[in-house]
This record gives sequence, structure tokens and C-alpha cells, in this order.
Amino acid sequence: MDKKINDYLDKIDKYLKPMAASERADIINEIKSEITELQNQGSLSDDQILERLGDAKELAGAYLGESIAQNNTFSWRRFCAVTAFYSFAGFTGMFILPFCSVLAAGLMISGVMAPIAGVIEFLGFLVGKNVPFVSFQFGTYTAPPYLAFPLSVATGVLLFLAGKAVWKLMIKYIQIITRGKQRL
Amino acid sequence: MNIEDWKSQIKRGTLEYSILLMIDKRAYYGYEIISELEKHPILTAKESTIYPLLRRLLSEGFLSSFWQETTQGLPPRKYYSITDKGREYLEAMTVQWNDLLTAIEQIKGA
Repeated sequence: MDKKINDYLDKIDKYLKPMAASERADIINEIKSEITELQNQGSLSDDQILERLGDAKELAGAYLGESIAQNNTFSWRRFCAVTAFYSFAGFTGMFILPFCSVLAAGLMISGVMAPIAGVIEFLGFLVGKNVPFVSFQFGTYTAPPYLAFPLSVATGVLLFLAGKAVWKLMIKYIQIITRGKQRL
Repeated sequence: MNIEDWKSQIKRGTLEYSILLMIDKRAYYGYEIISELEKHPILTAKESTIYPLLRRLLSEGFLSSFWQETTQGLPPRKYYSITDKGREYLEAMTVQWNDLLTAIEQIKGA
């Protein structure tokens, strides 16, 4: 397609920024479809076609005006939906987001630290010294130094995976909330 | 008041009705609607009026749309068809429209 026409469509796309990407693409495709239709008829030059469609800002503005006018009509249903949504998102977010992010980071850091500690304990065992500040303990069970390394690696992997799982859960939560907001 | 202003006010109220009447018969695509309206100077409207209007009718559930490939190598067209809700709305509009015409006739005759 001609550069001038592409520029025109790009401009409209830019002015439509406040709209969702899928809606924007739909609008652009429809305008593009009409431009090709007019070009195929052959009675108008590209410049005349653009003149017919009018200023990009104006055309985009007409779409935006229509969508804003739509969103501003007050309805109790919408009011309740918005209130319910933000109450839910705000309230759950207040607990879920800090809890999940701290827990995920904590688990992942522990996952990395455990094998490091295991290596230190194992090295201590190799040179025949007991490192006093590292040992593998689980409840009342204390692992012998030679077992500390493999056990700590296994624990580290488990902790790290758990951290990642919590992280993914949090992302999922954010996606659900975002999708909910788009539906409003 | 300028007659053009008055015309544009009439147009604002009747375009929606005209478009629904057209789409009630069969599915139309945007440019087709614009060309059809161009045959009637009083209803002629620009793309910047028709497309956003169609969009509003879609979001209000009076119309539904679908993209359809064309045979002559043109890009796909976005067709609009009327929904049950749209048909109900159109019927209600027709009642009002006929009322208006009767009222005008009566006032003229009085």
C-alpha cells in the first residue's frame, strides 16, 4: 500500500491509543478495507481518498468520542460492577500481592542459599573440620556432614520450585485482575 | 437558524433509523452503507459519522458483525447484520417515526 496511506493509518492508530489494541486493529482494518475498495473503483486518487476520509485526528476523534460518550452514561449496574471490582481487587491485592512477592522471593533466595551452605559444610567435611555455623537440620534430625551436600541441593531445588510456583500464581492473579478490568 | 443546521439535526436523529432499516433487509458492509446513503443528499454522511455510529450500535447489541473474504482479490469486508434486540429497537423506532409523521400531517392540516 502507498506510503501516504500507510502514514495516514499509522496516525489514526496513534490517536486511538486509549482504546484496546484489538479494537484499534479492527478499526484500522475496516478503514483499510474501504480505502482499497475506493482504490479499486479507480475514480479517486489516493489524495482524494484521504481527503474524503478526512483528517486522521478528526476521524480517530469521532471513534473516541463515540466510545467515551458510551462509557459516561451512568448506570447502576455499571456503578455496582465497578465498585465490586475495585473493592475485590483492592482488598485481595492488599494481602495477595505483598504476601506472594515476599514469599516467592524468600523461597527462591533460600533455594539458592541452601546448596551454597551444603557446599560449605561438605568442604568442611572434606578437610576434616566441622563448620560450626552450618549444618543440615530438619526438625530434630541433623544430617551427617557428608550427606549435607546432596540433601541441601535437593532442598534447594524444591524451595526454588516452590518460589517459582508462588511467583506464577501471583502473575496469574494479576492477569485475572487485568482481564476483569478490561471487561468493565 | 441556518437550514444546514436544521438538516444536520434531522440527520442526527434519522441516520440510525435509516441504517437499521437497511441492515434489517440484509447484511451490509460499511462502505456499502455510506454509498447507499449518498444517494440521498439529506442522509449523506461521512465515514467519521457512520463508522463510529455502527460501532455504537454494535456495542449496544443492536448489530453484530463478521469479516468476510471477497472473491475479487479485495481485502476482507466487515459486514453488519441486525440482531433480535436490534429488530425490537427498529420496531419501536418505526412506531415513533409513524407517530411523528402523523403528528406533522395533522399539524399541517390544522
